[in-house]
Amino acid sequence: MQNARKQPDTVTVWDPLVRIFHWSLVAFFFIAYLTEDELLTVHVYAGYAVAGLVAFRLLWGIIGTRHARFTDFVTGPGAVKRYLGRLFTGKAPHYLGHNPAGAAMIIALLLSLILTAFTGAVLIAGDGYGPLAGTFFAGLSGESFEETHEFFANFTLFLVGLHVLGVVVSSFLHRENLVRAMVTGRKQRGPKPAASREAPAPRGELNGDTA
Amino acid sequence: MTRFSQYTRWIIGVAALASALGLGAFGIAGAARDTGFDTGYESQDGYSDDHDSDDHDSRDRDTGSMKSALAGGGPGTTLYAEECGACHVAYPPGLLPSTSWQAIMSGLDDHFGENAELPADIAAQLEAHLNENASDRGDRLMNARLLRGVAGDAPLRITGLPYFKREHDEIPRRTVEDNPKVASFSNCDACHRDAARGRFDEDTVSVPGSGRWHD
Amino acid sequence: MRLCAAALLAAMALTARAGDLDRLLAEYKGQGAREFSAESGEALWRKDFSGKSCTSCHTDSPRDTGRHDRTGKPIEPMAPSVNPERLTEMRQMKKWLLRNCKSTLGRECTAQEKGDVLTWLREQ
Repeated sequence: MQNARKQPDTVTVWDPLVRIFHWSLVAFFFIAYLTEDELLTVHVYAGYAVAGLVAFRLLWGIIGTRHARFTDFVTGPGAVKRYLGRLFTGKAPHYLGHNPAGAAMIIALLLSLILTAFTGAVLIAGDGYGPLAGTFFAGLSGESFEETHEFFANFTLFLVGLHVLGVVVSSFLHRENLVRAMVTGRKQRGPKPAASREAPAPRGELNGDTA
Repeated sequence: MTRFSQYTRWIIGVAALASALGLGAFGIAGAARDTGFDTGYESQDGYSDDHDSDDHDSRDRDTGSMKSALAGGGPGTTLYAEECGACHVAYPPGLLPSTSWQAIMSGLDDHFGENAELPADIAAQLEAHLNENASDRGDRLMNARLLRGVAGDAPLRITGLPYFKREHDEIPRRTVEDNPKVASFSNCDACHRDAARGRFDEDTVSVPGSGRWHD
Repeated sequence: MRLCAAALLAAMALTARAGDLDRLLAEYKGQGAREFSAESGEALWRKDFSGKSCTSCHTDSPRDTGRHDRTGKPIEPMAPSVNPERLTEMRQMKKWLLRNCKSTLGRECTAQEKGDVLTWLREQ
């Protein structure tokens, strides 16, 4: 959708670690999702990788570059609602970093992944393996926990679907290729003139520079 | 945060990210080396097979030399499918430890109430195949999961494993015991159409008379 | 000449198919069996051995597909007219006669019994 012509005024928004994190998470999540008991060790290590990646992201959300930091994008539910409302009227403002809906999605995804990884760790603790083996969590392991684990895995997949939908909608609305931005790390400095017509930035996040 | 040293921040970030990626990559590579499933999946393309299109003939499909995590592989694969698969689904050797298979092979004259004697040379080949692909020769974690809560070290019935019971405890009687097309949990392939190939995930489940199963 | 060779080959192929069965019957004769009787074979097929019989799995007609009485696994018909692979392999015949007699009759079958059943089955 975006012209191949190199825009002079692009700016690095997603640092390399954020991008590597994002796509590795995609890979390991799907490896884990597609393997079950038949490839249990693969499943478990993919799960460890997901947990490790989430841990990295939490850390990087505190010490990372500007747009990676939670303080840069986490808003209250009110801001998310306002943003989504404007999205439907086609007047949603453009954000250089995560928009409020995207930010809410990140939190939801991280939480859902944490719960998936935790319930998974409880399950293998019951078999005598993993970081929780030998702790009281091992005793919780059972069929009901297995279902909880599956529920959060499926819920994460559902969130992934919503996330992709949001990326597509947002990309069309603001005429910027967000998928490519997560590969190259670069985004257009200012809002594109067409789709989102100068809805004033609700807060000071617009056009911010990377740290 | 602006005072936070740029240098330190990147070192910590790179180290954390690299640890996560390394854990996953080395863990998966190690699992591939230990169980040898990788070679089988690549050369035989068994994993990516579309299992929806062949529900009805999978029961009798020759497993060939495909290596899957539970079904195993090696030279005895076809013989195992022919000999043991003649009366019942060729139970994937990776579902029981080698101690179990040895006990089963040494008692073929009373094989769960039936006589299943074999000429000594055939029996020896089958026992070698079972030992090579037994659960304790494959995925360490899966072996632990299968044997969790088992009394003794040589369980004879897969359907008697606590693991098996846990996985099937929600299934109503009408689906299995009272379903004439299934009759018993030991008929894995009545519902798990790819059972002989060591695949049991829910996507491959189709209960006769009531279709796909989801829990 | 060529025709002769072709006829010979065809004949050889046919005898090869029946070869194992004939050799097995001869072996049973060597073990003391008398002339085999298809009638006795059929009677044995249907005979009840305290609740079990050949028909429990193979059904009344050897031309029908059977079903393992315990596992439910389909069993291909025994009659060579429907399933030409039957009664062609020495090892298979010996293995199954041993196992199934022990499972069904609770003992090994005599050479006479086995020969009778095979003689009846081959006509089916």
